[in-house]
Amino acid sequence: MITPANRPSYSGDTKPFVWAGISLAIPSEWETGQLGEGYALLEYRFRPAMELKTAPIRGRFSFPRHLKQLTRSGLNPSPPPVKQIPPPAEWPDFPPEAELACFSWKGDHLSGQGLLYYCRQCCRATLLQFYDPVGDMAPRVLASFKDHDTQSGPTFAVYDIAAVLPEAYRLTRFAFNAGRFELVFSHAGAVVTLWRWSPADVLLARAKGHLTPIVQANGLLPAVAAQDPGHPVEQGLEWRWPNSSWRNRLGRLRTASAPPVNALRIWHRPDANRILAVGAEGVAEGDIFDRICRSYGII
Amino acid sequence: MGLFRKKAAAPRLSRDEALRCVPVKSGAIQASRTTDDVIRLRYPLVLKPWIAELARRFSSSPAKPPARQLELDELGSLTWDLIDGHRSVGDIVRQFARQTQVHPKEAETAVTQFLRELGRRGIIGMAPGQRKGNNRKG
Repeated sequence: MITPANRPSYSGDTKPFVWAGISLAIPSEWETGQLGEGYALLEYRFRPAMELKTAPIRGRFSFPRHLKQLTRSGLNPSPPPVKQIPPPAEWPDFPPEAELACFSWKGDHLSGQGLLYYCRQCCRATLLQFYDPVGDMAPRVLASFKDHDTQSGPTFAVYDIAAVLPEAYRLTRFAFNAGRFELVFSHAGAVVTLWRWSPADVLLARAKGHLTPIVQANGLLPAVAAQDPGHPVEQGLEWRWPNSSWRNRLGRLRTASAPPVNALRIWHRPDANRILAVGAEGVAEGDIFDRICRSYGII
Repeated sequence: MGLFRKKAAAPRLSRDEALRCVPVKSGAIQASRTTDDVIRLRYPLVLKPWIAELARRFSSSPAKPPARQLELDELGSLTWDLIDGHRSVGDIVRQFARQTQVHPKEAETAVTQFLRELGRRGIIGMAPGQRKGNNRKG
């Protein structure tokens, strides 16, 4: 039930949310609640605000079949029945290559509405559902929806972090634990890992103000670079080390030019009370590593 | 058959209900602040009655019940200080997130895990919370 006390209030500011290839501008008051493969739950004041599920579709798209699949693939094993509805008048127009169907549902304590969107160009189906009483934000969020051509923005923007990675890199592993986030991207044998720790002041106090103990405690450096004190970069430290001999030879065979880059950069963001780090193994150019580090930040 | 009867499962709380609960410190806890400005808790061990009886008979000081010490880290000490018998779990989470600048979701995970651990050791109890409009506290 919506009462004046639990009616949402928004400042009007937005922030990016990018996950599983879907890009949205969400109200700055919404927070990432849960993430999975092709799944995201956004929350407002610790209550569900919006849920996103996305998957590539092989073969013909069928609204009833894929709606059933996507509603069952969430966390709720027995979701309430959904009712197909005409698109609400205030929702934005979508591009002509999209097939969409809107629906609403009502459970014991929660209700909401959403849409199943299928893009014929990228053959991807996306289900977005908005939980009441935040449904009135739906038109603004839907107007920002992008499921392809997202290269101009970040590759991911979740919780409080965002970064841009080269298009070919795919997210292969992620873990969001309290205090420590880790995302692993890979492409053609190269691996890029991004870390984020918080609160930085507590961690740095335990490490007597140095970043090296944090690197050591998390095992971020291979044995070959473990004795190297690292060279200073802005607010942090950086290490570079050569490939193992067989990898080096293979790398040189593949790319006749410079050998692949292995590096780790860790830096402190005192303004946000966070520590960020980027690790690269076998990345083709040093420039890619630098660009990833520059793009990685707090939102 | 009463001995082997399965205990009835405790009713499951929804997330909203859990966040509305109010943690209350046990009266048997002795809390002190160390020189490192962290909290040290001394709490009585909760023993099964027959083990307690054995401990009482064979202990060198039977009048003193067995106790344990637990030293909290900085974040645990901060959470302990926020437990005042009035703040709900949700209020503590929000206050913790504000004071440490961690993401609200991380604060929720960290604080609820910590409170669960304190509850398991009998250091705190949980009082059912009152339903508020939006469960917010400045």
